[in-house]
Amino acid sequence: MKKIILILMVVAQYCVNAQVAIGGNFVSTKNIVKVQDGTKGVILPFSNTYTGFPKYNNASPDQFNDYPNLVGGLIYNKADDQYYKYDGYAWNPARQIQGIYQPKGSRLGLSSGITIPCISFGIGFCFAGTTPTYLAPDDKSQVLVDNLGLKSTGNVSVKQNGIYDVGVSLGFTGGSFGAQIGVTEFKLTLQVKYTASSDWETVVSKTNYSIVFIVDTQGNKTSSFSHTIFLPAGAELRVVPSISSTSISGGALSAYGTDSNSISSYIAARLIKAF
Amino acid sequence: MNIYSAQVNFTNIPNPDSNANGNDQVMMYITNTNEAAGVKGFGLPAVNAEVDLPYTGVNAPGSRIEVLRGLLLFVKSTGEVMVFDGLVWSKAFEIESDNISRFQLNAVSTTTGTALLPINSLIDKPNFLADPLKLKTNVPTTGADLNRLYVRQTGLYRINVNLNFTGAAGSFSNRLGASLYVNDVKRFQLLEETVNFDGTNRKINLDFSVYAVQGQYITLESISEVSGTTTYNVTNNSYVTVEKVL
Repeated sequence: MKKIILILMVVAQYCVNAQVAIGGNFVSTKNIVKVQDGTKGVILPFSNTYTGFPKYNNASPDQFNDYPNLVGGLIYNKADDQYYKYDGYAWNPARQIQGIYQPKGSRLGLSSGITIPCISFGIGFCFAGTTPTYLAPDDKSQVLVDNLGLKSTGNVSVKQNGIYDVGVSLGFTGGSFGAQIGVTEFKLTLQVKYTASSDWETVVSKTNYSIVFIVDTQGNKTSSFSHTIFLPAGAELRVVPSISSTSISGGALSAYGTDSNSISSYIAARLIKAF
Repeated sequence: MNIYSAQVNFTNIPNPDSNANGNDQVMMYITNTNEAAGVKGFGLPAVNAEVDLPYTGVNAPGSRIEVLRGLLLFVKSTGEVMVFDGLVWSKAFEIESDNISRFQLNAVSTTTGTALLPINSLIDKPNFLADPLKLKTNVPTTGADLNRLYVRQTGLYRINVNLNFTGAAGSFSNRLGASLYVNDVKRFQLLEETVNFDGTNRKINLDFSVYAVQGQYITLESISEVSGTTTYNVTNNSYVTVEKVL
């Protein structure tokens, strides 16, 4: 043990402001550490799986605690045979651009939800009078970033002409059609206002489908889709939720709400090609 | 020289991990302390060309060399860092995102209206089947894992499901679709209007947007509209494409 301590002290002394060469006498002032060229490589620390990485925290939204001192860290993951790099927020595969630094993408969380009241004429319908607002503050630990600068005062609008992949997702909470057997559809509609003076136009409406039985009349459904669209600079985006049921309702109707959790509710855009 | 449980510090910062309770998170620091005085790097060992990498060509191993998983070498002719997984070498880092994986599905039949989709892990790049996102890397090809895509990076994904349905002529539902599960919990069910283009075939092509966390797995399921056809086949002319958006 004493020998090890002594060796460590020597290494530590030598390492202060030193250029260290491993495998030969070829010190360069451009390197802190240089390993000799040849067919022998370098192996950095590994973990069998991501749960063994430093700062792993299952309770964190991105599985890892934020930790500035670890920025630039590298570790090999044997579970999928690739290196991971730490960016201050999470460990990311070294072969991928970290999501939060993808320059052509945005993901915006829900800042203001809505209620979706329901009415019934034997079958039920729920229509929203307003639309949810996606202007939540950025949060890199939740991969909420606005690298495209979509957030404007009071709205979400693109800043550059181009083809975009737009993804929307909305969680529905609460609500009830009462006792019933049948089918309930949770719909999301993407609308675009191409200029400040134009009307909102529906681009696409998608159906998230629920085979509803008596035990499944509550909310907590999530609807999502992704769609490719050309958008001119200045075009505003919004999402209109609605719910309909073809089942016979035997109970009271109560309003649905929207889930503010960014796992379920967001609008995202990726610029595929700028024009 | 063996140094067990050591933290080696190639800087003149006494404790660069000063926020921690001891150096418990970093094994070795190679850190610049003053950029104004000149940035210094970490020089990986280098070979001149990819053919110079060990364990390639006739020397390629027949079975995985466990102790060499993670081996790094820099290739001067390509300017790339290569990593050895014990069997083959691949790029360790990418400049541009290589962010789309695509898989073919195995054929599956159902009489209940739904079928979990078996996702074949075959890599066949000439036919655009590849897995840079490592969703199926080291994943067993049998049992429940056959249906799973393992998420390696927290973020936003676009998942395209392209399914080819076959069944009895004239009996299909007009709306067919797919469910997406995260860790066996149903997250979405998307339905698409379909066209019966030859009496026994229908196709759907839909895109989910899903936020998933590292370590979670995604499974997919074909669905048919309630009260519609419950007996059908999904052929192997069906594919799932996963794009890492953010």
